[in-house]
Amino acid sequence: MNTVKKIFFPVTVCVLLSFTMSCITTPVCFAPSSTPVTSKSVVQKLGKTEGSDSTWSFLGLWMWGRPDIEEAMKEAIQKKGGNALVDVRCYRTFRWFVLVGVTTVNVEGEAVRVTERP
Amino acid sequence: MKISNFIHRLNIQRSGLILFLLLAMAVLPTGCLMKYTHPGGIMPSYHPMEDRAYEDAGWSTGETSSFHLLWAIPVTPALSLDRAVKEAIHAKGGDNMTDIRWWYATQHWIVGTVCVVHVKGKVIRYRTED
Repeated sequence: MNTVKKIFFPVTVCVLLSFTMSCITTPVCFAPSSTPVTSKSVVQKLGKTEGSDSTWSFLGLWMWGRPDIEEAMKEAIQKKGGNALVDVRCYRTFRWFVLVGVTTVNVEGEAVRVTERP
Repeated sequence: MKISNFIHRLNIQRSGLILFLLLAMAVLPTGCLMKYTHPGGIMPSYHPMEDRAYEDAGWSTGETSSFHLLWAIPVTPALSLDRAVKEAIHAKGGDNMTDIRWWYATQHWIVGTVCVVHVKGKVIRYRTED
C-alpha cells in the first residue's frame, strides 16, 4: 500500500503538471522580402537564416513588452551579415507552464545583401 | 473530528477569499483585465514600387484603434491597417511606405475592449522629373 502511494502520488503530480503545460505554433506572416526588391536592385544571396524574439505573460492575461518581429528579423539578418531577408515566413509560438506563458515570434528566410545599381 | 474538519474547510475558504481579494486589488485600480500584443506581419511596400527615383523621408509610425463597449458593442469604426499606414505616410509627407512591420495590441478593460494596430515603416518620396 505504501509503495502504491509512493508511486501513485508522484505520477499523479506529473500528470496534473503536464495538463498545465502547452505549446502552440501558428503561422503569422509570409512576404517575398523585407524590403522592396526592384529591377534596379542587385541581390547577393547569403543563405538561410532565422531569428526570434520573446516576451512573457502572467496567467496568460498580462503581457510584458511584445514579441517584436523587427528584433527577430534583425537577429536573422545579422547572423549572415546581410541587410534584408527574402522568402520571409513568421511563426508565433505560445508556450504555457503553470502560471507563466512565453510568446515567441520566429522569423525564417534567406538573408541577402541588396544594393542599388548605379 | 467533525469540528476540526469544519475548521480546516473554513481555512481553505478563507485562503481562497484572500487570494481572490489580492487579485481583485491588483486588477481593479488599473481596470485592466487583460493586455496582450500580437505580432502582425511585414510587407516590402504599401503600394507597388514605381520605376522612379525617390528620396528617403525617414522612419514613421502610425496607429488606429477601435473600442467595444462592454467587450461586444462596437462604438468606433473597425480597426484599419490602411488608415494606420496612410497616417504614417501623411506624417512625413511621403508617397509610399517600405519596410513595413505591423502589430496589434488588445486590452480588455472593465468598461470594454480596446484594440490598437501599430505600423512602422520607411516613408519614401518620389522625385519629380524635370
